[in-house]
Amino acid sequence: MDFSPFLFQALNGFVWGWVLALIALGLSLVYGITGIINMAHGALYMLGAVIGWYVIQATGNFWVALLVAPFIVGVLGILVEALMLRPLHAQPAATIIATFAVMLILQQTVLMTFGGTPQSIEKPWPGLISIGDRSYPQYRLVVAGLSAALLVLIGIVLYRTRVGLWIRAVRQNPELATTLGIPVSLVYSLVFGLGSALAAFAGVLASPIVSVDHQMGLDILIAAFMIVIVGGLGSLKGALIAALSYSLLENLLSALPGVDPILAKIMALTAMGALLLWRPHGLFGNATA
Amino acid sequence: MSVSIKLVLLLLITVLLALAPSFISVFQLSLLSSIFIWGLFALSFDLLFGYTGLLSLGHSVYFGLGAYGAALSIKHFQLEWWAGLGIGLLLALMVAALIGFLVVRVKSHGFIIVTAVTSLICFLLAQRWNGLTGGDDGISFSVAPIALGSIEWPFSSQIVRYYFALSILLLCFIFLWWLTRTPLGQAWKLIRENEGRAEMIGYPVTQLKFVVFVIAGTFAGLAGATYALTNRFVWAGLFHWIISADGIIWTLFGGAGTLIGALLGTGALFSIKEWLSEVWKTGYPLLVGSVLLLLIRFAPNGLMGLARSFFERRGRS
Repeated sequence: MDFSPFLFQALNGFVWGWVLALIALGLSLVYGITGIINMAHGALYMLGAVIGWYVIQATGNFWVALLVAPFIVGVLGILVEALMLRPLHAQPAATIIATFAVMLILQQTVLMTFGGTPQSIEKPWPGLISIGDRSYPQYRLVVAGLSAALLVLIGIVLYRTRVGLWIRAVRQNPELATTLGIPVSLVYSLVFGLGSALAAFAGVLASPIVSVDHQMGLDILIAAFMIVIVGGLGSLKGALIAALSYSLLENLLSALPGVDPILAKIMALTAMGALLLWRPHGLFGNATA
Repeated sequence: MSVSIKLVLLLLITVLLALAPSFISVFQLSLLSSIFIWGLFALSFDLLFGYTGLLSLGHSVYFGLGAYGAALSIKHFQLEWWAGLGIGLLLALMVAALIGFLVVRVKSHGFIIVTAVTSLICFLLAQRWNGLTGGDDGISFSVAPIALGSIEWPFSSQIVRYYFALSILLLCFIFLWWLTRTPLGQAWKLIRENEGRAEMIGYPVTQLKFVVFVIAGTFAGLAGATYALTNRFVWAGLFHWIISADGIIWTLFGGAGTLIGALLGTGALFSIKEWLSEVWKTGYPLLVGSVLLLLIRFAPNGLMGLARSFFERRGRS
């Protein structure tokens, strides 16, 4: 048996797992701290890719887009949170509807300006590395590396800085945090902005690998939510492990003879769904999270 | 409003709708037929969300199954319309029982995600086996006319489709209205209001949730089968969770937990969509998005909530 398709798919799964982890981490932070079930997260990922496309058209530089798009989307996230979502905190059903509305508006705005035709973005890092007798695009390894670096950075911010301490305090008990003088509403805004920026960063990173259109965030939203729950709410480590294993599983399954990509996706989703039924609070979560 | 006034109103609206084909255009009839079918879907969702508080993003699965059950059995086995309808309904019922048995154990956000995953899986399955389902392009088929003795009503006639959808909606509405007033319906409301207390008092919460999940799924299946019969066309997109989200929007817009609100919401949003498609083709999602944001902020109980507070204010002055 030839093992190189498995190695190839394992690499793909590994790379995509890091991107998924970024998306899931944003979702998890937002839900864990602000209580908002953000249905617009997939649309923010899409918006990141689309703004990235525009920036690349204007400047011709992918790396500028990678910085500019998350910044714009992050600011937009802060505005959306402050203007529309703040009054709805702690009402999960209401936040679902409101963020779904935001998703509709974002998607439609993109459809009206960007158009319905999927666009592709050229890889900013054209090199290939050879694995056995196959070659693999170096850019994908850059994606995994950048995602990993950003995740480590977020971890450091969360666990080693004052702002991170605030965020964790608000997560544990917002009332108590207020009495201690922590600017709770600022923390909410920052977290929502950070979550949005993470989604947009993932969108720009993924844009040379996938095709960019107004609907690219729809199905990834459900996958990311599943990863958040399987990993355990608010657990950085859990989200990463769940994202990597989901992605590896899906890609390895697709390397099996007779299994096409859609079937592999179905099988991986079923496996994760079954895991959720077995452990409703996820692998690293607890009942109170 | 007392029950007798509501019954009189229901009767009046029924008579009005029954006479409608004599004074409105064929286009308006087709719009109303769609409203009846999707209104039934919203009704079934209201049972789940408005009455029991279960926010499911997987409700489209049962609409899709009902539609495909009817479409495929009629296409491949040349069944009569009622047999197709029955098969669609049964298929939705069985799968709702199977999935419901598993998912009602998961609580709050977990339930939303697990049900969303079920619709994503079914959507992908329908795309994967496009030889059977037609995938995104869908399949069309023809149905033998409704025959009663020597009289035949073909589904190709808009008036037949209108009365067909109207009768099914009316029967379901009356049944569901009765159902929500039974002790069972009251127990669902208790779960919505306070699940912990319901459990304390000794209600079998998981079983009650299972029952409402299956009933709502079955009615969604009936709506799907009716959709298939009247459109004679089905496609994989019917399974997508975005269809469930539409159900949420219609229900909330009209007012969740009122049944009639689900119908009003569907009617209002369908009419707005039709009207907008002439004026500003791409504007509908923008308008719906903005309206939803305002609604959730200022009128969380939807049209019915607005109407209720209006009447209460008038009653006080």
